[in-house]
Amino acid sequence: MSEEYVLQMQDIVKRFPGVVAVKNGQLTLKPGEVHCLVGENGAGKSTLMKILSGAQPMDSGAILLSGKPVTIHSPHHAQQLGISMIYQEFNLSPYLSVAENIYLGREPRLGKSPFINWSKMYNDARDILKRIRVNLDVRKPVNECSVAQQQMVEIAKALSFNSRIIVMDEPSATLTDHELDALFELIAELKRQGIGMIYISHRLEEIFAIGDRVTVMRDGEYIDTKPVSDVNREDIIRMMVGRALTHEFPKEHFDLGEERLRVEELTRKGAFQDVSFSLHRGEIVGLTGLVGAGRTEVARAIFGADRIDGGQIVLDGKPVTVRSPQDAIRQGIGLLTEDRKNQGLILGMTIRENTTLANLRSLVRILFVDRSRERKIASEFVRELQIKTPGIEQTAQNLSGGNQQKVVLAKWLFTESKVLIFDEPTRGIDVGAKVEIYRLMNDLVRKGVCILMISSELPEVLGMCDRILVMHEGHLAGSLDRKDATQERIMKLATGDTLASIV
Amino acid sequence: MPHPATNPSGRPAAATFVRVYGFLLVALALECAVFEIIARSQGIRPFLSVDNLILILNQSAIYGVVSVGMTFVIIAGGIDLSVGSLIAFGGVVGALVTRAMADALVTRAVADAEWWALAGGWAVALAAGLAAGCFSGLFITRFQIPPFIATLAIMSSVRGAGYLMVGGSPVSDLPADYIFLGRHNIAGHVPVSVIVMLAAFIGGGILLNSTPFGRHVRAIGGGEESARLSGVPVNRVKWIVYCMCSVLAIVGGLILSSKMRSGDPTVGVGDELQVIAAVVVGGTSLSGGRGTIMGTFIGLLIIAVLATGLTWIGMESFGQQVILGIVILAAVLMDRFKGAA
Ligand SMILES: Nc1ncnc2c1ncn2[C@@H]1O[C@H](COP(=O)(O)OP(=O)(O)OP(=O)(O)O)[C@@H](O)[C@H]1O
Ligand SMILES: [Mg+2]
Repeated sequence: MSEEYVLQMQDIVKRFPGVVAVKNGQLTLKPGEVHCLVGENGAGKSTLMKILSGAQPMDSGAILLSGKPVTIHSPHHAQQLGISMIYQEFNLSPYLSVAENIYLGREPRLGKSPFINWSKMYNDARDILKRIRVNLDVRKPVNECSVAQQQMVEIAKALSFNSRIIVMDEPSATLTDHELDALFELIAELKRQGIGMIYISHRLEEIFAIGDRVTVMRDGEYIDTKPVSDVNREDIIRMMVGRALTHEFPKEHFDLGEERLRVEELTRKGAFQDVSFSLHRGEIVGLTGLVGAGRTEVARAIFGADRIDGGQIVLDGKPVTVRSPQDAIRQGIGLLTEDRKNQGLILGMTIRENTTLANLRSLVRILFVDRSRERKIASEFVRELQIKTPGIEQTAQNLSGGNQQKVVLAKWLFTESKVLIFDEPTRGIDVGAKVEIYRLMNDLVRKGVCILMISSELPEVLGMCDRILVMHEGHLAGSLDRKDATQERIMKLATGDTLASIV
Repeated sequence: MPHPATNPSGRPAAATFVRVYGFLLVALALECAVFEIIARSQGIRPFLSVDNLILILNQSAIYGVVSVGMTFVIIAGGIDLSVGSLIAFGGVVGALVTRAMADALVTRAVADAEWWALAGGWAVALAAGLAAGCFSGLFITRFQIPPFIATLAIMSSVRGAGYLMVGGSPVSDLPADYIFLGRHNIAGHVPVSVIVMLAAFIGGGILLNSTPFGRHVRAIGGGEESARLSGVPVNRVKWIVYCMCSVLAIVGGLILSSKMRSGDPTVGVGDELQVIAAVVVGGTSLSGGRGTIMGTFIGLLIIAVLATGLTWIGMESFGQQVILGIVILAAVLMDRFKGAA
C-alpha cells in the first residue's frame, strides 16, 4: 500500500505565536500524479508545503518518502531528497544566466580544478530545457526573461536535482493565458516522466484542467481528498468554505451618475498612446487586455507613479495635474498595485500601520498619530474583511498571501478616495473572500466611488463590470457594454481585431 | 525573517517593553554587575554610584546626540558617514565665529557680549550643518547616489573644509563662557551636555513613535516603493532625515569643542563608526525599517559603561578596543538569536 506513494504527510502540526497554522495536515502523492491543494486564505496550504520543502520545521507529525520516514532539515536537504518547491517569488539570481541559475552552487568543474566547465554547463542546461520542451537561450540573464520563462527556469532547476516531487505554490497567479497553457503542457510532460506534483491554486478551473486528486484544507484542518473526476466546482467550494456559494458575482446595478474621472489622450512613450476614457459615478469599469498591453502602465500614470508625456486628467470636471502618488491620493485617486510584496505592503510593519499608511493625515491630532483611533480603525477592517490574524499588531509578512492582499485593500478603503483603480485585486484570494471583495466594491460604488478594475480573469471582468475597456499594444482597442461583452469578443479585441469587425 | 518587536494580539505596554528591550537591559545590568564585582574584589572604589552614572552620561553625551540622528537615517534605510567630520567642523565653525564675534562685541562694550558671541557661533555652526545635510539629501534623493557614497564624499569635503578654515591648528583663546555646553553643570550636578542629550533622545523618541513623520521614516526603510505608492513623500522625508542627522552631529561637535575649549579640526575621526555601533547594538537593523530610539539609548549606555568600566578597572585603551569589537558582535548575534526564537 505505502509503496504506491512517493510521499505521505501524516498528522502534521505547525504553530506560530497566536495561531495554529496547520492542525492536522494530511497529504499523499503518487508518482506521475498532479495533486491539487486548495483551501481558503490562511488555511495552511503554503505552511504545509514549506514544511515539506524544509523551509519551516514542523511541531509534530510524520513525513514518509516512498514509505520511509524522513526528517527534513533544510531546503537544501529537501532538494537532496528529491523535493523541490517553486515559490511564487522566484529564488533566482537576476544577473546570472539561465544556465548559471540552474546549476548555481553545483557548477560542473574542469576536471578537479576550481574552474567552471562552461561548455558542459551550457550543454547540460540545454538538455534539461529540451527535456521539458522549453525553447530558451541558456546564456540569457534571468532578469531579461519573462515571468513565465523564469518559472520554467525554476522548474528546470528542480529537474536538475532529479526531483521526484515538485511543489508549485500558486504558479498561475502571474501568468498570461498563453503562458498558462505552456505550463500545463510542461506539467503533462513531467507527469509522463513519473514526477509527482503538488499544485496550489485559487483558480478552481485549473484543478479540472490538470488535477488527478484534490485535497481540501480549512482552518489548518484536513477536510478531504477526492479524485478530481468525482467532484465538481460546487463540491470543492462547499468543502473549502463549509457552505455553498450562491452567487460568485454579486453584481448590483446602480444608476449612472455624473462623470468623475476622464482621461484624454493620455500618452507615455513606449508604454501606451492616446488613451481616452471616462468613469462615472455608479459604475465599475473593467480594463483588460493581454499582459503587456499597457493596462498597469495606464493605471500608474493616472496615479502619478510614472510620468506622462502627453494628455490630460480631469477629475470631477476640473483638469488636475498629478505629479506623484502623494498628489493623486490628496486629490482622491487610489491605486491598489498588482505586486503586493514590493509595491503594496511594508512587510515589516503591522496590519495596523499598513492599513493607515496612505491616510495617516486623517489620524493626526496636534502633530501626533491618534493611536487609539488607529487601532479601532484597523480592528474594524480586520473584522469587515475577515482578515485571518491573531490581532492587528501582527506583521504583514506573517500573514498568508490572500490575507496580505486584504490588508492592501483595507489601506485603500481607508483613503476614502473618489476614484479607485484596482490592479488584479483578487489575485491569490480564495473564492469565498472574492465574493466579499465584490460586495465591498458594490458598497463603494453605492457611496459614489467609481472603480476601474484591471483584471486578467475574464469571468470576473464579465461578472462585475458595467463596461469593459480592452487594450491592445498600448492602444485602447475598444469598449464593450456589459450586455454586449463576451469572453470571445474581449479576446478578439485584445489580440488586435477592431471594434467594428466584431460587433 | 520574523519581526521580533511585535506582539500580534496587542498585549499591555509593559509586557511589550520587556519583550522589546528586556534583552538589552539585561545585558546592561550584567555589564554593570561584572564591573562592580571586579571593582570590589580588587578593592577599587565601587563602580556603581551616582557620580559615576553622571560621569558615564557625560562622556556619552556627544555620541548620544549624534546617535539619535543616525538612528533615523539607518531606520530610513540609509547611512551617514559624514558625522565624524561634522563633529570637527561644528567645533571649528562654532569656535571661529564665537571668537570673532566676542572680539568685535567686547571692544564695543555690548552687554552680555560673550553670550551673544556664543549664540552666534552656535547659530552659524548649526546653519552650516544644515547646509551639509541638505547636500547629502540632495545627492541621495535627486541624483539617487547611494547614501554610503554621498556621505563618504561629504565626510571628506567637510573634513578638508575644517582644516582649510583654521590652517591645521586649533582655534583657541575662546571666551570663558565657551565651556557652557561641555563643562557647565546645572544645579551643581547635572551637566548641560547630558541635558542636551536627554532632550535629543526624548524628542527623537516622540518624533519616531508618535508622529506621521516617524511612521514615514520606518515605512521608507521597510519598503521604499510601497511607501512611495502609498503617498509617503519619500524624498522630502529622506531629506529631512539627513539634515537632522547633520545638525545633531554639529550639536555633538559644539559640545566637544566646548569641553576642550577649542575648535580642533582633527577630532572626531572614526566617530561615525562609534555612533553606528551604538545604534546597531541597540537593535536597529542596518537594512532599514526596524529600530527604536530607546534601543539606541541603551546601546549607547552599553558601550559607554564598557569604556568607563574598563578604564575603571585599569585596562588600557588597546585592550578596550578589542573588547568593544567583541561586544558589538555579541550584541548583534544575540539580537539575531532573539529574532529566530
Ligand atoms: N511566519 C509566520 N508567523 C506567524 N504566522 C504565520 C506565519 N506564516 C504563516 N502564518 C499564519 O499561518 C496561517 C496559514 O498560513 P498559510 O500561508 O499557510 O496559508 P495559505 O493556505 O497558504 O493561504 P493563502 O491562500 O492566502 O496563501 C495564517 O493564519 C498565517 O497568518
Ligand atoms: Mg499561500
